[in-house]
Amino acid sequence: MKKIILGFLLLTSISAAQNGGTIESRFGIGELDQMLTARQRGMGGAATALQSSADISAINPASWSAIRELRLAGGLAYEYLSLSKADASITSGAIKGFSFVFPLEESFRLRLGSSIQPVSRANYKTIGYGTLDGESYSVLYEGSGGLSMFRAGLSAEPLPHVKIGAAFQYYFGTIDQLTELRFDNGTWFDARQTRATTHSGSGLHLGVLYDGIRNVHLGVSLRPATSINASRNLVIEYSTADSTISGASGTQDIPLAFSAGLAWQLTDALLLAADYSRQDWTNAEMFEGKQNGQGEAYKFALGAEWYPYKNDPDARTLSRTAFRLGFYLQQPYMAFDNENAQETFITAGAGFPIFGANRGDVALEYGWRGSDAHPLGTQHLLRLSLSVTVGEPWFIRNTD
Amino acid sequence: MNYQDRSPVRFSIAIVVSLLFLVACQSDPDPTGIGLVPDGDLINALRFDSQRDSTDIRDGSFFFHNHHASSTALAIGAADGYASSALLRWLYFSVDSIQAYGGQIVSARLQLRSLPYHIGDISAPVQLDLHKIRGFWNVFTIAADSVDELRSDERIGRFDGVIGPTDSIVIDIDTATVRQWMRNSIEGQYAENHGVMLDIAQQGVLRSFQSNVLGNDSPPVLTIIMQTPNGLDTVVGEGMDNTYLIAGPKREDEGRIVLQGGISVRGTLRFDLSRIPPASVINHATLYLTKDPSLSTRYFRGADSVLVYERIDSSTNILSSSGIITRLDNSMPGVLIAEGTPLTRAVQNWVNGKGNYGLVLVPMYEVSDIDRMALHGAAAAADKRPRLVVTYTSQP
Repeated sequence: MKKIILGFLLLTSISAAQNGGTIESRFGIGELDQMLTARQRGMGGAATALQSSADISAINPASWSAIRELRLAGGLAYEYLSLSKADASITSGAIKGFSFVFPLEESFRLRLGSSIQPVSRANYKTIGYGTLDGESYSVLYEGSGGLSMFRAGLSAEPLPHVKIGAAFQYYFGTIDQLTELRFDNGTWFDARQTRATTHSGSGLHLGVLYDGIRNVHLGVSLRPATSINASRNLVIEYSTADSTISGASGTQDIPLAFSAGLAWQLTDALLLAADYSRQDWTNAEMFEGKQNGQGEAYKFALGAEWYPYKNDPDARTLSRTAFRLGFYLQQPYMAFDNENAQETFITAGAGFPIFGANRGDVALEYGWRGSDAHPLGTQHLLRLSLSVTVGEPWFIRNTD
Repeated sequence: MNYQDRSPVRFSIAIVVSLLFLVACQSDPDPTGIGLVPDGDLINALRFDSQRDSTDIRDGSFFFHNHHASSTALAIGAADGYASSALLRWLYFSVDSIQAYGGQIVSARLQLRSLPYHIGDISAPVQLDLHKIRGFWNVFTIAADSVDELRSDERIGRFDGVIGPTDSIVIDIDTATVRQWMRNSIEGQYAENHGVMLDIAQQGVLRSFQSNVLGNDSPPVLTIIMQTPNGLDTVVGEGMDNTYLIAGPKREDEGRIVLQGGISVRGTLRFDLSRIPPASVINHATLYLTKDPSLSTRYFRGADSVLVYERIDSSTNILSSSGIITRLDNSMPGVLIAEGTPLTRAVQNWVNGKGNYGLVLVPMYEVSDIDRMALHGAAAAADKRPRLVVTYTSQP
């Protein structure tokens, strides 16, 4: 049964890279996924220095050594995006991946971690209108797909208070871009062309955590720049029932991503965290050429986690329930006409036990970006995230 | 597995099901943000107009070897440069050997019904002669110039008189010839029944008669009255073939494409489409042809339309399997308009580099109607020459 569920989650994680977005996701490899759990989202995404015995972080592989038993985790998100122009709104849902950590050895806290999760998504459906000598037509621009990632790595604590982690990442996925010109008269042949760009390639993810300072954790995460393979096929459909297929091969740069964070256990019940991350896409090339609309992405995040009933002997469930708040400011890597498209988010969330060591986390994020001058206007985004982690002591042998 | 163990599993399944439900929510496309589509990805509908773009156009005409097996009319006579003879034969006769070899033939008569279509004066008396045919002929392969070769000098019947536009006429046929046909039928020598050739001796008139195609109510009938010991018996010729052989000159008029029915003169038309970028998607194509009434005729139905086909071979004039019948538009008097999927596909093939051999213009009712349709050609004034308007979509 567990294998079936595992397989199903794997499949749906891949397909989940195909959901929701604006025309902005036509650029580059689409809208990047933050790869955060609901716990991390509740804390504004200040996740680089966070450690947890239950939450599997995709931000810093070094944190896996804090996990004591086999952990499986999965999550999903639901987004509502409203656009001030044309009163349009977009809703979408997506699985945010599946991951597990397996304890291998205890003296060095050696852990094997693996995950499959979305890296980016392209999903938009935008329509334009035109007229030619009195004949009206529409042009639909539609995109779907995205990149996903399979990751496998190890983490360990080779020195007291120092945890390190490294993971191999394999990127894969296809982005389909459909363009369809259709005449209103309904009798003329529609022009339909589909461009499919398939990606595959690998990269690394490295992380370090240091908790030797009293109540303070420091974390650094690094994903070195890599270049993955990309192949592109353009299929043009004709009235003659045949089609033209032209292909091209090249590479897609994924630039270095860096994040640094600090977590401070202020009291037994209150944890504060801060993060800064950066990834410069300005010179990233796609098929041997720089693409317009890409710039430097950065993020500054603050978050807090509070267990108000942690030491209350009468509050069994509540004593293990966390409440979270967060804030982040980020610049996405897509920048049009050098316009500042900073996003500001405030976040809240909660984490609660389900059964035994299993936990559930929810997070709600509200953010806004753009301005009336932006082609999409001011955008307001509401995102609901849910993560579940399940602990299984499989590695512990029964002695009975 | 106890309840506590199963719960996370159930919860996981619930997550996935919820997700699938959420993913199913899709929004209608919205124009918001269309300005963000990269310039290089934009596509638009564009127009090619051979008249506006002063495109190079080539035209021409050619004889097409046609057969008239499916013609609704049998043309007989000579007028306006045409000369036509009809051929009829009957392969079978339902008679026994006594009838075939010994029965007395009281009469053998061919009945024909005239059609109003004609060239020349039909009020004058006409002499319609029936001659034996010398050899075997195939209705699908017979050559137009084989009339003299097939016609024997032996006349086996004649009609002499006035034939109205829709009259039935009866022509007596030599009974000895008919008896021989009956014997051939009894002996299985069907191919020896060569039939008769019908000619009109006078010049200046060409008449038409109903053929034996389905739909004609009075096809040619050969009726034989025989005397038998039990009285008179009527025998009808069966297994009938008919056609007509017509010859005439191909008209060559400066600046015109002249299509001719009967003798099957077809037109060709080719547009230079190099201005349309390769691999463009052709959304629609419209062909405009301007008729020249002064050189056109309405001897027969005088149809105001032609058939337009894609020519898929430069040397043998092979046509695409489907063509378009042109239409008229009240807003453009005298202009024939062709549009539709076959033309759109033809243009697409040319743009895709599959060989632009142009179009072939086929006269309407080509096998039966001896009419001319003159169209202004490539050398005509700009507003009258053939015009091709193509709507296409550019590539990003």
